[in-house]
Amino acid sequence: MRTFIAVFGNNIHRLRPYVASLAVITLVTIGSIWAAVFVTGLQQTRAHVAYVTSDVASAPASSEQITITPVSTAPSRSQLMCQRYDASVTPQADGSLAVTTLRGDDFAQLVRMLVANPNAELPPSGTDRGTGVNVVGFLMMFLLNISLSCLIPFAEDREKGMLSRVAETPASLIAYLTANVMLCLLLMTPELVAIALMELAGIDLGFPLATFAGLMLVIGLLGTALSLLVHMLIRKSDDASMLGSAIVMLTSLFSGTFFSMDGTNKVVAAISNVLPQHALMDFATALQNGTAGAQIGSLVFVLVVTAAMAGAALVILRRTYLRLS
Amino acid sequence: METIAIQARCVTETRWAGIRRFGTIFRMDIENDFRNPVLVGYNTVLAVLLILIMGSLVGGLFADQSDAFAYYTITFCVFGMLMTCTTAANSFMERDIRRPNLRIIHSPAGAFPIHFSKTLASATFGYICHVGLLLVVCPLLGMSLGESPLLFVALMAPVELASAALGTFFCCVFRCEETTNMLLSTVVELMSVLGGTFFSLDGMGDIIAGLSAASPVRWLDDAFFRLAFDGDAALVMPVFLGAVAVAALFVAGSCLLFKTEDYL
Amino acid sequence: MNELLSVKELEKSFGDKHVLKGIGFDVRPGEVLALLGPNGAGKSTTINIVSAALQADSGQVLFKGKPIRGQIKTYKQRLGVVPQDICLYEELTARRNLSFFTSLYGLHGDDLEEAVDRALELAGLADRADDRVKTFSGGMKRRLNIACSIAHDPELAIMDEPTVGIDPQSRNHILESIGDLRANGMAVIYTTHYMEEVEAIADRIVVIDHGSVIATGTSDSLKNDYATSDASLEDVFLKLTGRTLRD
Repeated sequence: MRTFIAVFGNNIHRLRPYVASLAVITLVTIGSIWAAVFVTGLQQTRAHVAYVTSDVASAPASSEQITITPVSTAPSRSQLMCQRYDASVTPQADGSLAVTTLRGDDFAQLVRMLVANPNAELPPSGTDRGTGVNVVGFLMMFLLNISLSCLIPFAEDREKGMLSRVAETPASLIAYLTANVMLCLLLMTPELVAIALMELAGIDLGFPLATFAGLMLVIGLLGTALSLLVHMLIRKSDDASMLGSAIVMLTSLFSGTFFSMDGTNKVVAAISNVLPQHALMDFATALQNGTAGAQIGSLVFVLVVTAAMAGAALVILRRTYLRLS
Repeated sequence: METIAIQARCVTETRWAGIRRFGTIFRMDIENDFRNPVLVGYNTVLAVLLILIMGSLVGGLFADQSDAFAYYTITFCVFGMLMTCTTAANSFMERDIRRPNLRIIHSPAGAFPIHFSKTLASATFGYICHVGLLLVVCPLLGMSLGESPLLFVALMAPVELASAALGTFFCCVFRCEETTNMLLSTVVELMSVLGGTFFSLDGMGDIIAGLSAASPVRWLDDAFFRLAFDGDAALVMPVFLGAVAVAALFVAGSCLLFKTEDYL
Repeated sequence: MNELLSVKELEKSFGDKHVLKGIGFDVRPGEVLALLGPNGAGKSTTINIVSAALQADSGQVLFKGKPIRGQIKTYKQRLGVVPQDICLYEELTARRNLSFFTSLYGLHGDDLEEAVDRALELAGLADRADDRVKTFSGGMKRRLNIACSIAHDPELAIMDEPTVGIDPQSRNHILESIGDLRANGMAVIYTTHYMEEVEAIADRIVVIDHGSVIATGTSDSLKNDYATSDASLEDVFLKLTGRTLRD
């Protein structure tokens, strides 16, 4: 306990020079919560089309389903590539509509229909991702990155040799590691406080505070375990951070944290299925749908991966610093 | 007359010695960057993986999946160019580099080569990595850079330089590489998300679309997209001159702010 | 007498901490001047100002009679600074480190190669020239650290505690090398906490404390002036600076 308190307190002092940077990262992470709420509440238009006409008044009106922007010249290919417009529509002399799009014939057909009848009833698009799942998804990558940043004291100890000093004392290495991990988790408190304040303000975030706390704890442990392992494998802290953030970025994108993986190809889906972030998203979706019990295996999977990474880090730590025979 | 000629020769030789000295430091800085496998991998392999992953994920939005790959090739190339600022911060004040750089301060090279060489070396390193990335990815994915691929590649150079200068400048401000990296990488990632690097935000309403349009990443993406897909070089000059101006500004800032005492 | 280096009335403050209060001393060509002082006396600040890495608030440093500020490049060309830390590229070979740092002083081509070879011989590392520095022992790194600073044959070398943490054999080698450099006309400003080194190589000693010069002279003259002739230099030093712990 004494080791834990000593290391924990010391690390708080050591993070003082990084307060400004951590504050920026925290603000961005909180911003991502807002973005998740906003995206969920958004009635995303199905199409944003450029209506090529010299007579603006002749352009059909926009609706919730389609945004129609009159333009005098057809949008360029780059504008279609960048999705400034999903399609360009040019009325023909015979009354038909010439649709140019990069999104295929089905979409062109949809555009024709919506231009002719902007208020047409359409089946709901996309997946049934609620606000809570979106918030968890958006938070995931940022919280994992926070774990990488907050383990700076451990990374410095490893690189500069202070870890050797600690290992040579009677102090418990487990207590030392726990103190580092707890500091990482503590530094996620601002995000939890932001969620609490949003809920108090009456904003529906999809899950109660306790659920968010639990999910953030799991994400924090996952990120910290990854961070520990990466820092034990790579001596230079800058290189370890770089590699860690690359892993976080790739695996988070692959796991569908920002948008649903439904409908992607089988290979991508197969890779995604082995990632702990994907399992956590599945569990969050099940929580949203009231079927958490059915997806408890996903949560267990995440905890097993976390334990495996932490265990591997501990084994390397002991081998390096305690040289057990 | 003879005295003037001798003096002129001395000045020329002194200048030439200074240039040679700078070249020596620059070469060492570039070699240090290429000697770091994580740095090389971050600027090449990571970008390729991101392009392939995102292209696969989003491919369904396009009739032809190669359009998705083309989109992400350009956006992640721009993202990579902007992340050169973190390479520069690493090169400038990373612990193992800082100590040998102390000797450069004591040498006749002076203070300017210390930060400017890092800026130039990081920009060159980033440029080589990202051009190399294009050389691999474009044939692999059947993608073309348009009618003027050389112009495309030429436009990358000042952007890399501006980004590197930004990283060096903030190192001079914060005097700490970790703080600079933490801050700049967060800002670049945020600008990139807003600018549509990962997914377009144009369909998310006027406010979001407006924010997206205000992101400098979006302006860069527009310039490169127009060049590659429309053969339209209208934005090339503004981006080129703008990037050069930004680079010059931050280099000047580094000259003002960098103190050799920060290395002592 | 023609001094190679003259330090006059240096003043320097960091915030409200007045670190140097009128430091002054001279260095003659081909002499080894030991700069002694307790921790926090102002030695490092003095060295940084003399090596033009730091600017004094007031005072002057003259090299061959001219202020160094007006001839920085020329001055640095003739100066070699051995930092207290090991300042080497650990991933590179000894030869590569030497080549790089020596080339910053304007040497190139055959001149550079010859200078590097001479420096390797001086450091006793000729047979390890192509090995990476990270494989070197502490003593070898220290020797290379020195070699990188004097390979360009400066007129004045500043050595800041160059023998910290090394074995007696390496220390002995370094001290002998300094003797050789002096014999070839190089002046050396040498800082150390090891009095036996000072006794072995210093021609003159300057003792500073609390930012001022408190004593100057040879080892014998200092012993005569401040202690007894059979006292050690350490006794003299402790008498001058006191036994209280610093910083």
